[in-house]
Amino acid sequence: MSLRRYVLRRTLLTLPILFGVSVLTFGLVKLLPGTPVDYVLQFQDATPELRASLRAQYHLDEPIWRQYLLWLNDVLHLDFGDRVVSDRSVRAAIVDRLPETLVLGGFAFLIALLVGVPTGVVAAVRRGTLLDEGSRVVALAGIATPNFWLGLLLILVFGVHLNLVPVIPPVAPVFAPESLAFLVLPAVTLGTASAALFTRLTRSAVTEQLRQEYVRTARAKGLDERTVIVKHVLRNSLVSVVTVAAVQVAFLLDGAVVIERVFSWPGLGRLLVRAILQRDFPVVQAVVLLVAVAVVVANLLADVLYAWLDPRIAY
Amino acid sequence: MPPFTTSRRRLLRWAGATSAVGLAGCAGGSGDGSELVATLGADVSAYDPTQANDTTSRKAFDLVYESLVSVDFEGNVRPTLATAVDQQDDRTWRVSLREGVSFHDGSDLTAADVKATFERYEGTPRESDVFLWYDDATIRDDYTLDVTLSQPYAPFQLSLGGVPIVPEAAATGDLDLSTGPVGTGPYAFDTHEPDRLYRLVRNEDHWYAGDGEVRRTSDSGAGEAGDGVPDSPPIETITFRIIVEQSSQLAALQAGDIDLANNPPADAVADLRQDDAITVSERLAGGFEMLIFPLATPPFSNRDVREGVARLVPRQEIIDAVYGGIGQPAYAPISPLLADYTSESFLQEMGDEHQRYDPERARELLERGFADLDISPPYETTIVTNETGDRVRWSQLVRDELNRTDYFDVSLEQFEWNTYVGRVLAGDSHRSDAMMALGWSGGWDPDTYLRNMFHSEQSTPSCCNAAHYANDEVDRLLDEALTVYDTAERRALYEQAQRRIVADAPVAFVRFGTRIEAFRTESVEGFRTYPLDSGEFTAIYAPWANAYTSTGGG
Repeated sequence: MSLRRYVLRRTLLTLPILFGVSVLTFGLVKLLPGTPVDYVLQFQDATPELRASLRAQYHLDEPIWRQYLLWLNDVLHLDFGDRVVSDRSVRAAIVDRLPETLVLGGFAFLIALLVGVPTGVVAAVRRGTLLDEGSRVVALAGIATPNFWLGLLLILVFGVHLNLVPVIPPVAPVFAPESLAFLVLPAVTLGTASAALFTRLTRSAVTEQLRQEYVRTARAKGLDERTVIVKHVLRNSLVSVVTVAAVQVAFLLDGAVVIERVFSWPGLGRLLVRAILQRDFPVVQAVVLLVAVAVVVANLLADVLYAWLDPRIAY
Repeated sequence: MPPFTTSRRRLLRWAGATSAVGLAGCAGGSGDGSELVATLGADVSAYDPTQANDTTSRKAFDLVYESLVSVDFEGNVRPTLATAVDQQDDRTWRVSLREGVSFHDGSDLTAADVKATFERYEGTPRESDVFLWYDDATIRDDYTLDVTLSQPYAPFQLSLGGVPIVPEAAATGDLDLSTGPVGTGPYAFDTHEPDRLYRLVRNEDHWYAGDGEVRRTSDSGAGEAGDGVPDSPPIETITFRIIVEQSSQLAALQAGDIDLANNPPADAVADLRQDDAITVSERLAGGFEMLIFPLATPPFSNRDVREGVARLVPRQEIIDAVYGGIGQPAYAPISPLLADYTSESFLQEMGDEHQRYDPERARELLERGFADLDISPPYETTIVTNETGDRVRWSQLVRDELNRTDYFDVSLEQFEWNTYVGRVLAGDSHRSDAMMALGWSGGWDPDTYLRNMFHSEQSTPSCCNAAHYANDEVDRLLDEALTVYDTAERRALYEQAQRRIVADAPVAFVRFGTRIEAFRTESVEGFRTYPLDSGEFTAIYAPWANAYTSTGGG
């Protein structure tokens, strides 16, 4: 099967998944106690007419399947409605914060990959040495450490005691140098667990590949060790790393909810938590859907990468 | 979810304060070089006083708006936008306005703005701020109006202090306060970036002329206000950074990124005191923690059992172990902050008679109570609390104390804030089998400590009388006290009501809270702790209270 057909098939297969995701997102929010009308009215005695008109405004007077279809139609047009707690549109609120979360998440992902994969390769090549054991201990600690605690610890050490970085974000645009400098600590905090996971995964994958016959062949051909590792072993090891990397996208978005709070970073995580507490349903639905779609897309990309990394993979 | 009434704002989310923590600091800015970087513990959600139902929003616009009168640090009513508020008869008060005051949008303050301000509260979330007492206002001239009350209302002047005056244009729809607050205060609104920052800039046209010409209206309290206060605020810009995580706020304070923290958690105060760069200021506040009994459920239907439990609340141990020695045992509702309405000796008397920790006496009471009810102990029950750390910890101490007797088998249930409020304020809260740990924040008037919790008409779900305590005498006393202007007479009525309530023990009082602020010594000068919610930043600039803060040259 050609790569193009494979990608096309794989993409089509995400449609039922996206459909399921949208049903779940819509349905779970409906399961929460209370409706937006309760939030809007909680401070006042409302006449039944006012209640009815608000119910109509949120389509709560329609049967649930129609509510879903109406919502889905809006969502497909990227219209997430207005917020319950203010008259701003949900889309504006998300667009405001999306860059913050993407920059933080991207930075963390980069750190995770750039630290995790090389460390894993070195550990595998130097199997059994102190370096390997050391990386194992650090990786286990990295996976086991709760990220909010790590964040506070880093703040305490680098922000308070050494006073190297500000503890709160600078008043500057998100891509300004001082903002990026500030983001080092949150990104390290967010990326540590993933980096640790990548290290362990890369190490075991590379270790396995090193035992393969083709490695012996390559060495026998007289290729230098560097070429053997980077061109042959690493490429073949990356398949499992890519799988996990796709899942890590979800963890990074997840972790942002906590990290954004610890580092006072105004991203989607902060918006989501507050929206849940305020029963700002349109925002909750939109953010959850966005995260879910991001994960689905990341997995799709991973599958495409497989095919590129290993042409034998077909669907 | 039950509908929220205005008074439910007084439910304390966190011990000692409501929902937010703020920080302030200095970071030399432009102009004459002074910027105070302050922070809020939650985002600002409303700029319009008729819409703002959270303490964060209210303290964020506290420096932007001004009221006709304000209440200073000692509880004295001080003229602010009014120069005088004179009583004409039981229900009529004449307000004389200060001349030459302008709003941040350039319009001049006149009597029409005041009347419009009052009337636009109708049908808003904050309606009861005004319509509990307001009937009508007659404009006599541009700077005089007569306010008619719906009934004689003792806290009238204090209530005026809670009504920020806005331009008439906000009532006619020509000015939209939902895009930013517009008042007459010493600071004007500049920007708000959600979850990031909220910034105020000095109002160069503020009316105060530095002549000490702000005198008190009430009889109590000494000294003239305004002496020595500079004619414009020393600090040019105040930037509130929004920092939700308390630990991060403390780190930012210690790192010098910010300079002043409102309400640091009790367990951090000892550390902050060790820090040479930081000053900790602490003051008794207007709130208390309590344990509410479900009065319709045996054994809590029995007075002896309730007093028995109240006498098992280890208040001093709670203050020492949970609050680092800060605070004061509570034996009655009215905070000692209100010196005109309660006293140390009265509180001690209430403690001796019905509430003070006394395991011996408690055992006798519980034995008698359980025998009267014919219930065989141990009674299995729970204490319901939200996730506030301090409240959970004191509930645990009470639980342990109760479990040490043969009468109870108590466990603790923690809920997320909205769920907890929904449970505690549900209409059948008095029939549940759980005791409820709750905090309450009162104001400068004694009524705020009693009515919502103990008047029968305020039973859940109307408001916050979760015990469904109903006593005709208490209802009558509270209603009467609200209409009596004479302080001594009111005090006697409230003392009677408190005696009745404490004797009936619908709740066990636990602790009067404090307000704590920690600030960087070298960069915050002149800051004082205001004892009530949303007044946190009063000390930044309040000529009527003789208060101002500078950045100490930092």
